[in-house]
Amino acid sequence: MEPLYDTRSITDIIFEIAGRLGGTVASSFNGIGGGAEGFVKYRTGDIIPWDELKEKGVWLGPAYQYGNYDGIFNTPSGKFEFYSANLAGVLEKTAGAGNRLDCLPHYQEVEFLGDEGSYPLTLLTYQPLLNVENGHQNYPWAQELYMVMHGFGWGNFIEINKEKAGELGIRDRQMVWVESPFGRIKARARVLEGMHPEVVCMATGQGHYAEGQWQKDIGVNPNDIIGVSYDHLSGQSSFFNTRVKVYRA
Amino acid sequence: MDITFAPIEGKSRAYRIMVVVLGVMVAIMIISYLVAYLSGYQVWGINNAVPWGQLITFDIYFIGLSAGAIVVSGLSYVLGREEYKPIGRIAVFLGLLIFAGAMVCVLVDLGRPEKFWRLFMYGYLNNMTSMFALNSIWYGGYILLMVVYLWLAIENKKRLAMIVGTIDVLWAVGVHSFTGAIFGLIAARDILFSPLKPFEFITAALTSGTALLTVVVAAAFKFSNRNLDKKVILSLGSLLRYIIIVLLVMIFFDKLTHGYFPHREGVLFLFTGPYWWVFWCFQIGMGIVLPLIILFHRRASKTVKGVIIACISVVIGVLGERAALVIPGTAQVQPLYPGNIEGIWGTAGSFPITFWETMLSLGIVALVALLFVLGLKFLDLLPAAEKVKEPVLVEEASEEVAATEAAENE
Amino acid sequence: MAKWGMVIDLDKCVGCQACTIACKEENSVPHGSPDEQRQRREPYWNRVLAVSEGEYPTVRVEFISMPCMHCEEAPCVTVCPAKATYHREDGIVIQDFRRCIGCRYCIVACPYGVRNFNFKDQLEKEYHRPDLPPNRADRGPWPFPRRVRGVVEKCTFCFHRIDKGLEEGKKIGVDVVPACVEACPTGARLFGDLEDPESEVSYLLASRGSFRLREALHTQPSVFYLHS
Repeated sequence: MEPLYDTRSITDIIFEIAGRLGGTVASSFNGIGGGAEGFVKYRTGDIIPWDELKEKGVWLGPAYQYGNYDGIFNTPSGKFEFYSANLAGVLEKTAGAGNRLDCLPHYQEVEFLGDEGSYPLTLLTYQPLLNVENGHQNYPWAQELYMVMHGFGWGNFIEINKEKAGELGIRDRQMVWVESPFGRIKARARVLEGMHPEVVCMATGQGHYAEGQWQKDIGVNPNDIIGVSYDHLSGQSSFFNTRVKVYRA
Repeated sequence: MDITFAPIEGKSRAYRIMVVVLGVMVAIMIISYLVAYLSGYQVWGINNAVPWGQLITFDIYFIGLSAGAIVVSGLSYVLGREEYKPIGRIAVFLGLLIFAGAMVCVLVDLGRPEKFWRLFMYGYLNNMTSMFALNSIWYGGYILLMVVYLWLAIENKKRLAMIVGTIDVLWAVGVHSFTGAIFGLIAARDILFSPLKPFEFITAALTSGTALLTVVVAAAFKFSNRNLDKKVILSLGSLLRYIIIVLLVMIFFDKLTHGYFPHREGVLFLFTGPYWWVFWCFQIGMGIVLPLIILFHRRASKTVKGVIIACISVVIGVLGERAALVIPGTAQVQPLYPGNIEGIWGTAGSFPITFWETMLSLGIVALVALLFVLGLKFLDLLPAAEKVKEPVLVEEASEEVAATEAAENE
Repeated sequence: MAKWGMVIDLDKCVGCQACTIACKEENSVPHGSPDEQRQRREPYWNRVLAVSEGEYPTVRVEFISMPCMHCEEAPCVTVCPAKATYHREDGIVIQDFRRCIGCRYCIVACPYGVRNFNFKDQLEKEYHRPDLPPNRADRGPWPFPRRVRGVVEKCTFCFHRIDKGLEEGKKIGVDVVPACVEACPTGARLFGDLEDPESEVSYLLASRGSFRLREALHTQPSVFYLHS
């Protein structure tokens, strides 16, 4: 089927942009097909022939037989492994020599950003219900009931345990600075019983930079002060390991 | 003895300036009301937490002043006491004007003032279990009675004035007691709910009415160069202190009942909440403590100046008392569910003092004052001026009269 | 004659506030601004309270969703001087905007604080609904032509839906329910005839423990809460 006018598929456009950007971005797009059709062929090449895929339109793997563990155990030894040989293999290829005890189930101490002395509290960011699917920011009926647990709308708070707030000399609804090693933001404090004393909490979804009628100048964005950090083993981003200190504004 | 009453001349410069200033304030009042009417009542301080604001405070305050003034006028017309005759007409006139001001307050406070006639559709479109509707009977009758009373007083028909005056004094007590019932019967609000509210209201009305009347009479006589027997002021002062003591007893027992365990939230909110100062500084401090100190002081209670200061303090203090009822009464957080209600539903209401509402209430006060000074000029309210130039309050003459009376009684 | 009542299951309520927003949409209730919310000038026909109890670490939060309670012995009906708010035969406490003089006595008298004074006129464009026919485009399903400034308003149990449903012979509580009941995603809200022993609400009230708010005032509300 021919595309309409001179449009192209989005995958082709992404490949082209990556190629034009050059450098590491282009190199990570190498060898995976070079375009929309090529990419699909690359991904399905060893599973199903191209013509068969075009005719059927779908590839279905074998149905799972209950109890047939041989079909799903992909470990090198074919048994349940506490020491994950697959992970060891990947780490060998990518990280070279390393602590092979990481391949056993173990507790990994969190690497917090910021030292405990200067930044005694941990910042936890969360998405309240109205932010999960987005769309609340310019919708005044949603903005006016944004923080349901706190009974307020039109903003977000830095939520602190009551005893901790007493130690820091912070009263409810007072403006405070929340400072991390990466920056600081000014937010309104909310003093609650329902917070862990070592943790302060802030809802995302406010503090927009763009000019919208109902989102302008409302709240602050905690993502401004959290650091960029990754979990070394899985490669996923860590959001909740920034340490902060809170003090009166 | 018969006193001849005459209007004041009203030609002096001070008088004209006063009329002009009051006229300007009345114009500001009209502008403030138009602003509120056209742009909506959010320019005032009222909101869904505190729905009644300055205007209702001034409304119940004025009704109280009016009832008090009428009851004091009863000293002259109903009880026939000679020494109060010079101030009788002013008392009735003041009562009528202040009540008219109260009605203006209520009218402008309505969200849809053009429908005020619904308050008078008794039984048909009206709900007679509502204190507002019941009060429309009381207020309507009160205005008629006062107009008739004033007319009889000016026409010097003594016996009829006594009959109508008696009815009016009793009706005034009824008017203000039922105004108190508007608040006292609301079970939802801890601070308002009390069977003592009608009695508190009428006692506060008597104190503020007596106090205002004393101040107005002293000022009116002084600035128009009339002689007023010092004993009148002093005796009103000594009457005032006993009424204040009765008020103190009532407030004490009302707060004691509401402050006793276990259900104390209302009183605690009033005493220690964000509006504690309205209760302690104005209602108790200026309305009760300061006047009692002055009026029981051996020397200060015998001077006109001391009594006048005590009266001004009572006037301001009772305004604070009305405000301490209306604002904290509705600002208190309602105990909807046990526990700590978070957010806006758990925060006490707030009532900001806004510019337009203040101008409107001051304007209504100015309207009443303007009508009063104009009434002094065009009606026979004050005793006829004597030839004496400087405003000396006659002390020696009263001593002579007392000596003569003592000699006669032997 | 039916007696309409509502049952709210606190066990199922998650505090999502869908009921609040659905009510605002159905009845064309205006939103406010941050200032208006702080000053408590915003109208809310249905409100969700978060009530917390206890000290760290034993803290508990409950969500109490409050529409108008439609009390049998409603204090607001007693104090309205113009008979603008009155008790309908079917148990709904209804508000007649044409009679209301805006004295706000009912707001003072209501023990639940569910009444709102309307400070603003309706902004014509704000609720423009091009999907509806032109004569309803400015107000959606709301039965009145426009919002009147200077009067008091409150939740009406969506009487327009109920009346229309009765005319069409539908079953109230099953086919036709108020907007908040329809919108609740967890099924925490139920509506029906309290006098009908076969209705869902009667069944729930008979089988689970329920309570009403501020029972000590003896207002006999028609909204029951099931214990969580």
